[in-house]
Amino acid sequence: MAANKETTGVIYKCPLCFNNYIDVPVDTFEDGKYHCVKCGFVGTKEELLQKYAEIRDRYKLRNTRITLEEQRKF
Amino acid sequence: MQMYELQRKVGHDLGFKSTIFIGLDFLRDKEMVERLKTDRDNYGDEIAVWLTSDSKAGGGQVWLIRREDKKRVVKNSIDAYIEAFGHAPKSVGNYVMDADLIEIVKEYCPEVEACVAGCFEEGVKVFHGCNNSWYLFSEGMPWGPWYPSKTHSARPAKNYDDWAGVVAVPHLSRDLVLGFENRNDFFASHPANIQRGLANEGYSHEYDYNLCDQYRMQKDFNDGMSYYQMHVSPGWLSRNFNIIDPDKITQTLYIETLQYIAELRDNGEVEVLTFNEFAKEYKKQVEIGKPTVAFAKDILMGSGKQYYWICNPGHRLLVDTFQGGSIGDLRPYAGEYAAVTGPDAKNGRYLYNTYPYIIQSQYRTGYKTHSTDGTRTTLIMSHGGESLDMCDYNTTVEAINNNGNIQQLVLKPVEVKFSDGFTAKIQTVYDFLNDGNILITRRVLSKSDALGELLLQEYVKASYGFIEYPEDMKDITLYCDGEKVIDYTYRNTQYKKEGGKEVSALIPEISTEVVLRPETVASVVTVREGNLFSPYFTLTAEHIVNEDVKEIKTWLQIKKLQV
Repeated sequence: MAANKETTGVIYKCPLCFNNYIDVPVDTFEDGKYHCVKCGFVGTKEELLQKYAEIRDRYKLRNTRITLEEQRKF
Repeated sequence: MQMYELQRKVGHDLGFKSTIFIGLDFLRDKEMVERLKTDRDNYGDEIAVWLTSDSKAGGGQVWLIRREDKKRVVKNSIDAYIEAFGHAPKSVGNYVMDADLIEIVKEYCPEVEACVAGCFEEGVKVFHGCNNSWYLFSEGMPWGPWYPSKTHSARPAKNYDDWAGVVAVPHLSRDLVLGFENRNDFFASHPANIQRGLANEGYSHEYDYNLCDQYRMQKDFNDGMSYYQMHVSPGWLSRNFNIIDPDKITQTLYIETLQYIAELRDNGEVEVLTFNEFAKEYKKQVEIGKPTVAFAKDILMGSGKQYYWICNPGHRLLVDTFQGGSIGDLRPYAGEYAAVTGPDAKNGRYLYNTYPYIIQSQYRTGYKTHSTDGTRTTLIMSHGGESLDMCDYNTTVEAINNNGNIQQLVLKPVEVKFSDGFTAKIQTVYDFLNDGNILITRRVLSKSDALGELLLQEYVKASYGFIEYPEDMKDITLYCDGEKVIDYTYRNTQYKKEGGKEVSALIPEISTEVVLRPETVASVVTVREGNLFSPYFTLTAEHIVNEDVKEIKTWLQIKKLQV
C-alpha cells in the first residue's frame, strides 16, 4: 500500500468497510482515485474525507464532555 | 526511540511512576537497560517483562505457542531481566496470558505478582474488524483486575486454592457499553485507538476524558475501588498507519489525556500506581471471590442505553435494560471450564482463551430480528390468549445494591398493555449470588383488573459457544425434575410437565449444568431442544398470577457438571 504523503505516511482506510468497523486500507490507482482491496469502493480524497465525517456523525456525543457527576445522573 | 522519549518525558514531567514493559531484545540492549535503571532510580518507574514468542516457537503470539516453547520463552526473558537489573521482575504481560503461561511464569519466577493477562471482550469483533487477521480471542473475562484461576485465566478464582497466584489486569480499560456492542479496541483507554475509531474530531477528544470518568464512576458500586489503565506503545504516536490524523494531533491527545489523569491525582481523586504497587494494594483491599459490578452507560453514541455487568466466581453476566432487563451475556464460571491455548492444547480449541458463553445476544441473535430468537432470557406475559415479550420494553436501572457477596439489581417497573386494555406493571429484581445462582424476581406491582388473568413465563434460551458460530450440541441432555427427557438430536422436541419443579440442561463440553427452578411450584415447566437452523435449548417455567400473587421468584442456576 502506498503511504499518503500529505498525512505523514498515513494510509487511508476504506470508508465503506469502516462503516462496519472493518479496517481495510485503500490505495491510489493510476486514475488518481482511492480503491479498496476488499470491496468495490472507489473515490476521490474529498469523497473519502466526506465519508469519514459521516462516520463520525454516529458518535453524537463525541464533542460533549460528560463529567463524572453528569455521568452519575445520566 | 523518539516516541519512547516523548512518552518518558511526558510521564516524568507529570510526576507519574510508569510501568515500562520491555521484550527480550531490549532486555539484552545494554544502553537501553542503563536508561531504564536511571528512570527506575530517579522516578520510581517499574520495569516489567513483555513476554514475546521467538523464532524457535514459530513466532506469532506467546500464548499461542506450545507449552515447551512457553517455558523457554519465559526462562529466557526472566533470566535476561535478572541479568540486566539484578533482581527478578514483579510484573509480566502480553495481550493474553493463558493459564499455562501464568503457571509457567509463577513456577519459574515466584516473585511475579502482576500480569497483563487479557483484553476485555476482544475476540470476534476485533478479528472481523482487522479483516480477519487478528487471532486474539479473549472474551468472557472481567473488565477490571481479577485473581485468575488455575484452570482458566479468564475466570476469576473462587478461593485461594483455585487461584493462580497473581493479580491480573486487562490490557486496557474498555468502554463498558461499546466493548460489548462493538470493537473493544476502538473504544478503550488508548487515545490513538480512539482516533483509529474516528471518535475524536481533530483536537476535540472529549471521549478520552468521558471514558476515564466512566471507570471512575464504578467506585460507587465497588466499595470505592475502580481501576483504569493506559497502556500505549511508542509506535502509536507517530506515523501509525491506522491513524488518519497528523502526528501532532495524535501526540497532543495522548498528552492531554495523561494531563487529565495527573490533574485528578493532584486533586486526590485517583491514585497513580505502578503495576507491582497496584497488585499489592489490590491484595490488601480486595479478597478473592469478591464480586465486581459495573454500571455501563452509553457516553458516545447518545442512545441512552444502560447495561449492568456483574462478575463473581459463579458467573459474568450482562443485563440489557434496553431489552426489558433480559440477560444479554452469561459466562457460566461455576462450571469451571478449563482451557489453555497453543497447538498442544488438549481440548482442541487451540486459539480460544475466551471463557465460553451460554447466552451471547450479539453473536447468537438474542431477541428475534429475523428467523427465530437466539440466546437470551425474557419474561413472556400472557393474557386473553395474547402474549407480550418483556424484551420489547425498555427499562433503566433503579438501584444497585451491594450486600456483600450478594449483588442486587433493581430495574424500573415496566407497564405492559394488552389489546383488550388490560394493563400490568411489573418490576424485575435480580439477586446475584457468588456461587452462580441467580434469583429472578418479578414483582407484579399492579394490574388494571385485580381479577384479570395473567400468566408469567420465565424464559431462558441458551446454547454454548466461543465465537458466533454454533458448536456441536449432540452431547447436551435436557432434564425435568431430575429425569432425563431429551437427548439433544436437533429434532426440536419439547417436554412439558404440569406442576414441574425444575428443568435443566447438561452441557458436558463446558462442564456446565444450567437449571431453571421456580421457588414455588410452577403451573407448567417446559424444556425444548432446537434444530440445526436454530441450535439452542429453551427452559421455561410458567406461573398463574392470581389476585393473591404479588411476585414470582425463579432461580437460574449455574452448576459445575462432573465430566
